[in-house]
Amino acid sequence: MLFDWFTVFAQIINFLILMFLLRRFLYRPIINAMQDRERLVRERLEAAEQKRLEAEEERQRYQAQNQELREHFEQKQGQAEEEVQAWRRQALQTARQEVDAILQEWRKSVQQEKASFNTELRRFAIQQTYAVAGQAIRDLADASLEERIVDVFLSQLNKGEIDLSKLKNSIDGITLRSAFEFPLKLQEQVRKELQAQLGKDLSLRFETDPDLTAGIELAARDGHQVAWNLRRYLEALEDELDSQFQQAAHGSKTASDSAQA
Amino acid sequence: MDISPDAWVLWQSGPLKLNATILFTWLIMAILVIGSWLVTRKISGALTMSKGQNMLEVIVGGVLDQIREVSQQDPRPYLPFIGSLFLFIITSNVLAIVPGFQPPTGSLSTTAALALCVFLAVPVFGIRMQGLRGYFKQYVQPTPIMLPFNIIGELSRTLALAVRLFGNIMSGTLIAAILLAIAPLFFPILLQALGLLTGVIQAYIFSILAMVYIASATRAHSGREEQSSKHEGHQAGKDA
Repeated sequence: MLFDWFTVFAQIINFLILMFLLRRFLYRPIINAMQDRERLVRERLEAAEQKRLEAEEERQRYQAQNQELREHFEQKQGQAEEEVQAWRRQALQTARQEVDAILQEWRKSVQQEKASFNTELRRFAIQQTYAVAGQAIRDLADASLEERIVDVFLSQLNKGEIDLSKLKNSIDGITLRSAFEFPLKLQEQVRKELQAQLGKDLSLRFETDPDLTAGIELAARDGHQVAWNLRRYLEALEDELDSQFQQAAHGSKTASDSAQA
Repeated sequence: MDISPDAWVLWQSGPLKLNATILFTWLIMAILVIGSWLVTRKISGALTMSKGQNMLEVIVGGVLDQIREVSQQDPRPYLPFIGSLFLFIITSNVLAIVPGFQPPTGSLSTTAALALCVFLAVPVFGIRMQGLRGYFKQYVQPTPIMLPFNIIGELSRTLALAVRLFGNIMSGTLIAAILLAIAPLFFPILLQALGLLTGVIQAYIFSILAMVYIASATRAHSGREEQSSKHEGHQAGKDA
């Protein structure tokens, strides 16, 4: 017999029981486990995604910070470079000014040395010239030259070329100095002439003074004096030389200044 | 030689009897339930799992995928029914190679019982998904003239379901027995291997057809016939 109704019924019951038991012991736990795992995986993926986003955010934040720092650094660097440049300019200027000042000082001192040397030189030249001229005249001087000088003196007195007005206040004590012994006849001649010009009360005294080189000097008691001697010429020569040297020194200084500029 | 294990009665008391079919069915149930319990009692939803759990997940996941593919719906409501059908039939068919084991699926009573379950499950799921009116409207589609043909089709496919499984498994064991008598060496092994293949395919076909019938009842009417006939043709090819 192929077909048995009782067995069919029993098998239906058996199958229903099997279905119930498998649902209880197989499908439900397995599906739950699979769902749990899926949820776990999803959560982990979400967490990972979240972390990735956070990391990305962090990365961007750090990048921005880095950028900011770099900009800040570049700005500072630029500032520092500018400051260094400014300081350098300042230092250069200061140094240049100092060098200029030192140079100026040095030039001034050189100039001064030059000037003092020039002055020394001038004085020496004048002295030498004076000495040479005086020596020459002294070598030449004798009685006949003395006479000649007295002649010239007298003729100048006669012509009024010698200004005696300074002596008019103290005519009673006038001294006549000469480099040589004044001859007697000439003493008389000079006294007469002076009396003619200054007055009768005139008292005249004769003295010898070798320092005069060659010439005659009239001195009043109050210190006023009138002189005619070679020293005057020599002094005039000295003045002339002096002014010439001054001009030369001034000219050379101007030339050096312009060359420097 | 018995064609059906029903004939092997171990115990009888009036209408009640315990035959080999019921006994081996209980054995299969015990194997499935105890095996599942052993694995799932320490189940975990963690990322690592035991080998047994992995195997059960592969099986359950495969069944779910197949159901989803056929029904194009959420597979979970159908899983206990379809999954149990598949596991019961495949276990029964595979155990057929164990000497002395009489597969319950080689009994027409068992296959008829399973086909009856499918026959009843179709309206149960159909009414649950589409409502009473929606379900019964399908029988007068596309015209009321088709009503008797639809009913006949419903009955005949249930019969076909039962007889197909029974025939395949019964013939497998029978042919093995006959060949054992004719050529006791080598050929029975080949036939056993073929029987294993057939048994697995029949388990798949039975479950998939059950799902197709249920799906056609739970979905909108369009496409029902095509899908049904397509799978009928598919399994017919396998039978040949």
